[in-house]
Amino acid sequence: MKKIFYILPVVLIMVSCSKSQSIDNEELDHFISKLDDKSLEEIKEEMNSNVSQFESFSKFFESSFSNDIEIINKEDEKYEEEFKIDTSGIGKALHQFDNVEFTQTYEDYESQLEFSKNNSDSSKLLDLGEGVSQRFTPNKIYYHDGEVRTDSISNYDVDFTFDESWGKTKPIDSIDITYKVTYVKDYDVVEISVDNPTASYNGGEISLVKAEGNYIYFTMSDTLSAPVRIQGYNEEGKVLDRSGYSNNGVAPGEMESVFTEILGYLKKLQEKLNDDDFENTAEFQEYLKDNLSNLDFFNDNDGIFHRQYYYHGNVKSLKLYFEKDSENREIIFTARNYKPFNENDDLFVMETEDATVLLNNKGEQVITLNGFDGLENIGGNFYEDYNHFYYLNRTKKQLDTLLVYDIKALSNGLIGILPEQENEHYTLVTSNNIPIGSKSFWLLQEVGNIVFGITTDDKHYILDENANSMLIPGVTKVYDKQSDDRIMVSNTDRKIGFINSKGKLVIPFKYDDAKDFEDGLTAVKFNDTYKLIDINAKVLVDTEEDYINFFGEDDNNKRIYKFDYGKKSYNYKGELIEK
Amino acid sequence: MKNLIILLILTINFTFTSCGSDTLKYDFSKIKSLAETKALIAKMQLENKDEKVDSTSNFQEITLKGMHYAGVPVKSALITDNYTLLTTDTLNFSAKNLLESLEAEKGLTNIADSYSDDIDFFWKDETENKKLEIKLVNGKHLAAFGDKDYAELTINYKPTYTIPLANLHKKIKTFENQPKYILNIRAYDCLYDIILNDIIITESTNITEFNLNNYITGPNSSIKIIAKPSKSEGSKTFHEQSYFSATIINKSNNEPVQEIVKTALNGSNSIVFDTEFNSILPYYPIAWTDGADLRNDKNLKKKVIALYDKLGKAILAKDKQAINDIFYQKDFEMQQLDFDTNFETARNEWEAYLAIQTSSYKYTLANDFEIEFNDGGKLIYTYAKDKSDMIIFTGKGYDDTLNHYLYQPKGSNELKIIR
Repeated sequence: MKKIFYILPVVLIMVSCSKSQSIDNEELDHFISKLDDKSLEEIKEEMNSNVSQFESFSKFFESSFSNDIEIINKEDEKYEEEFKIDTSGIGKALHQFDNVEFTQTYEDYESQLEFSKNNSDSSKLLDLGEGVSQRFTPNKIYYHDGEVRTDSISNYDVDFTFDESWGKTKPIDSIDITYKVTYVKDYDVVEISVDNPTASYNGGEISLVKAEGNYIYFTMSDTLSAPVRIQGYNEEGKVLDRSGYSNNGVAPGEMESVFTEILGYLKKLQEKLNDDDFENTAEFQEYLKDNLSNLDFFNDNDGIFHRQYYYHGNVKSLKLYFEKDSENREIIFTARNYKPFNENDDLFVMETEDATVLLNNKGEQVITLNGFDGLENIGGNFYEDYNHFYYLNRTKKQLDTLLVYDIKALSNGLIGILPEQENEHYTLVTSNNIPIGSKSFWLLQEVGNIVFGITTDDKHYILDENANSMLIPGVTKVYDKQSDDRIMVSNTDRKIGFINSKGKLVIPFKYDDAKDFEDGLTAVKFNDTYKLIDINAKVLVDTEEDYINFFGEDDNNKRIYKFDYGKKSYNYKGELIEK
Repeated sequence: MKNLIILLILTINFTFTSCGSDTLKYDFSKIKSLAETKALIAKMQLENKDEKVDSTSNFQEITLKGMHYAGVPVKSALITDNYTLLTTDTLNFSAKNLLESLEAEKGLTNIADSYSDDIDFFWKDETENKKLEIKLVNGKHLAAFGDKDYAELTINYKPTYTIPLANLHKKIKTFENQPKYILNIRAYDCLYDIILNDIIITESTNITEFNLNNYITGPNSSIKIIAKPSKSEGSKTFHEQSYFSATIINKSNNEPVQEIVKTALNGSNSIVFDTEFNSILPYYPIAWTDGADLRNDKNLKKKVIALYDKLGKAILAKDKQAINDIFYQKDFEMQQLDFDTNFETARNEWEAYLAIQTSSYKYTLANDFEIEFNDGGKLIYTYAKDKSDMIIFTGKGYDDTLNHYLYQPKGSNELKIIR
């Protein structure tokens, strides 16, 4: 309840600080309509508790809003590059989406999506230069149940930092998104200075009002579009580094009065509410609508926009770069669900204010569980929260609490349960909690998509989805990577060999040391030196080295084999790299 | 909506500054618990309505004037659910004054190790821990702290336990001579069993130090040690360099009580060393001395299960009195035999039981176990065969096990935990 009324000052500030346009503002209307089901008493109580908080806030905001005007010593001046169109990053920007994933979570009957780039660059977006803008437009949403949606989706936010709302709670498999980069191809330059303080451009006017030390204040006609870039120059014509700025519909010095006015308005509202001046909520809402438009700060009648800039140097003139011509490039990429819906009968968890709701792949509500909080699916019909494990009993539509030590979901659909202690054997059950398989295992290990069951005597079994276990003879250790259909294994003599994904020993135990395969090649040690072999154990190169240092990477992220402290190196094809 | 979040952040983290009266109104030295701290904040709140002190927050910094510690003005108080941090002014010898106040209250203490240039003092008792960090501003001058040096006092209030088990130290008797009999072993390439007063206290071990007091019930004791080949690398005979030596010492004065053996080991048979020694103590526990001979008890297995079941139920029911009753005699006798009057021992033991209680949602009992009879059948120990131990407590990602020496007091039909 308190939150709703708290929005009012925020809405007022946003309206006043951003555009200073008409009072017919969507946010404000939305706020007023939110009061529909509130009683006057509730509104009064909330107003009383929030006016004082806004007072504190406005004090903070006023004092932190303006920089100090100062004269900068010549030696302390900082400079930057003169503006130029830099499109060099665009090519890379267009290729940054080869592996984009999103996480989909569900809350209060809405899907929340957050995107991430899953390649070697940063998971966030590349930073593009001045005069370049980028935009994402979703084209198609492929839901897991087969629905493909194209209408009313273009405004969904492709955000690489925050969760954003993406409409209905229905699992999405993938999304086609258009990425469009727009950059300035040609521009006009308008210059104003202390000597020539006024310039006309495109039917509008730009006027320098004040230039003092590191500070410059000028106005622009409302009709002019915003410049791509504004740069400040010192008297020698060097481009100064900017330290701060403020753009407003309101003239400097009047900002304080905006807050005073909002506060005054809120206090007036508070007084009227406390004096019982309104019959009912509707009357109060009506008053809000009529009265807000009378506030001065919404009526920007001067037709000009105020800009103040601060620099690391004494600013004497400005250059404003206006876009004359622009060009676009665009690509379409596909983003995939990081944790896609597996089986058609899976359910997913949605938290609401008072319950945990389980929905099916169509987004239909199947089971509502009151009093559960922070429930997460482990796999199959198994869930956990902070304190307990649960099995979802679909027939009874209830969660059965499982008082066990641990539950582990495996990629082949099996569930391993440790009933009492860490130090005991996993028993296997199906996703429906039915015991399966005749063996229990000391450890369960997943390598790639293969599940290994390990017994206390170090015997390794491959487990299929029906918990059938196949012994891999001789193997006492499985290493943790699968690549090129090879998994490194060792035996009781600590000799290393390789199995394939079917568990067949395709390269026998004969190496003293080895690394996992990459690009069909790896390094192994036998007869005292390291050899590079292919996946059939054919020796391609004898490096004649007895010490391997580490793997490096070339420019294309391909492996480099380094020996003897980097004195001898081979590329990923096994070719000697010349110094 | 992101703007709203920013606004909320801006308004939540306030530091309150008062311009009220300068009189010393709020004395933190009188505060002895978190509840009293909350009460003090409520008082501040009532008396400083303009400052909007939030009594519900669990992380709050207050800079009201009038706060002090036994008369030393406190500039700011950071109060959380876990600790209270008081910082004095950098004026008027506040660090020196605060140290003097604490020494008057808690007594003198040594300078504690510090990783920084600060000087730290530490006081610890049953109700609270206090740490005073002197921040030297005037320069490192130990003889007399300077006028600008200031101090940070961190106080952790401890929960109070009224349960007898957590207050055992108050019952511990002290004596002029308090021997602590320790068996010291030096050995190479062998394992050994140790049997004290006909009680197997360990089997096939290579641990080198044993506290014997816990198994002493009178002034004369017998000890038997069976040394065996270590069987490492499949060997069934002693290694040619195997040796064994054992001495009983009194750790309270580090004097040897009795040398048991010092010899090289050879052959393949176990070698037995046994002797008697004077095990004089100023206190002898009742322990299992009045226990019944359990060797022919047909219901013994059921009684063992019943005891661990009772323990499991008490823990799951969070029945503190029942937990106390089950362990009291064991813990009291062991702490008395150690002549340990430190309040922390009993408190730590009690908190360990509480930790099992807090973390568990299930217990599992061993039903198949072997019973070992000691001291003429008066003391038994059990080895679980179907489980890893006699009782297993399980929680989410948590497990713990217990197994104890048991006896049955004469006239009773129930087993009791005694070691």
